[in-house]
Amino acid sequence: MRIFRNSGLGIYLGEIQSDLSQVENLVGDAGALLLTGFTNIHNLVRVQQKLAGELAAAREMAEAGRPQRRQHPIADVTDQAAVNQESSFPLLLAQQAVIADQIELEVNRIVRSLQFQDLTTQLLAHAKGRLAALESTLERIGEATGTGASWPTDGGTGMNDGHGHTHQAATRMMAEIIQFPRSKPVVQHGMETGDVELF
Amino acid sequence: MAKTILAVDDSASIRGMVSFTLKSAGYEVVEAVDGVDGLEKAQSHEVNLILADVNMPRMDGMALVKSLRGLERYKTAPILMLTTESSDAAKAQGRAAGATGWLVKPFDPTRLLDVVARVMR
Repeated sequence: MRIFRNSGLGIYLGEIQSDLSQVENLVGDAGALLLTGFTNIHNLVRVQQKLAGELAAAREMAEAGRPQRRQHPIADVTDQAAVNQESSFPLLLAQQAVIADQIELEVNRIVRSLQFQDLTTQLLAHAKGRLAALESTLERIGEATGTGASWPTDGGTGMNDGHGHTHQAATRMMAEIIQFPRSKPVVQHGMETGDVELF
Repeated sequence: MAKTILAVDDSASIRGMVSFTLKSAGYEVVEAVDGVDGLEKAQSHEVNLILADVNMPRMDGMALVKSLRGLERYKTAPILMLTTESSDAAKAQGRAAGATGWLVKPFDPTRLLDVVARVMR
């Protein structure tokens, strides 16, 4: 780190790491905000559903006390309005039930979407690990020359060498970093529902 | 009496979503942040099903499953893995460790509840 940090490549990698950390923070904040909003929406829906149930119960009680309205639906204008209102209740309740089902589907979609934080966090950790390994290897390349060559400290990108030892050391160390585990923890490219398998 | 599910995941957002889904369906939920925490809570609570991530610090999901299967109380308890891993090799490893099923993230709440109900029957 000490030799490498102020080189052009070191600065470049540092910016990548800084960007990745910033993405991780933004994702975390977004996840927290979404969770809060989603929970509030769900609670409001529950209240709405309860209200619909209470309206239905009130209507049943009203019907039990006014059977004559059904016998003379047109004679009294006031009753006509009441009859219209009463006849709209079943339709309204049916519509509310359909809406409730649709909201539940949307809620399920949100639950699935909110899991993006876990997936992206794992991807970010994987990328940061590869960067850290690369940085460590480049640092070792600089230390391994032993012939006065070094990484530049003025933002330059070239290593002052001209010695065969440096080139051979770099080749060997780059071969080592290729051994870094390449299996990705996350292969999903979208937020489609994952597979389920029971053994 | 409501059944209790142990949700083990190092991701707070996943634990939140899993808890929300399961509690909405009437289950009690106990949360754990990694395999070590999960093992402790499995022993301190009466748990009917374990839902565990694979990639976790301190103790991963595979090690947790093996440890749970070593306990008399959890020899045959349903243990579902909920993970981003989807390779056949990983699933085979989970099956060999003693897992009951394998769910790939992101999970769908309806599907999760269906699988949970099925394995707890």
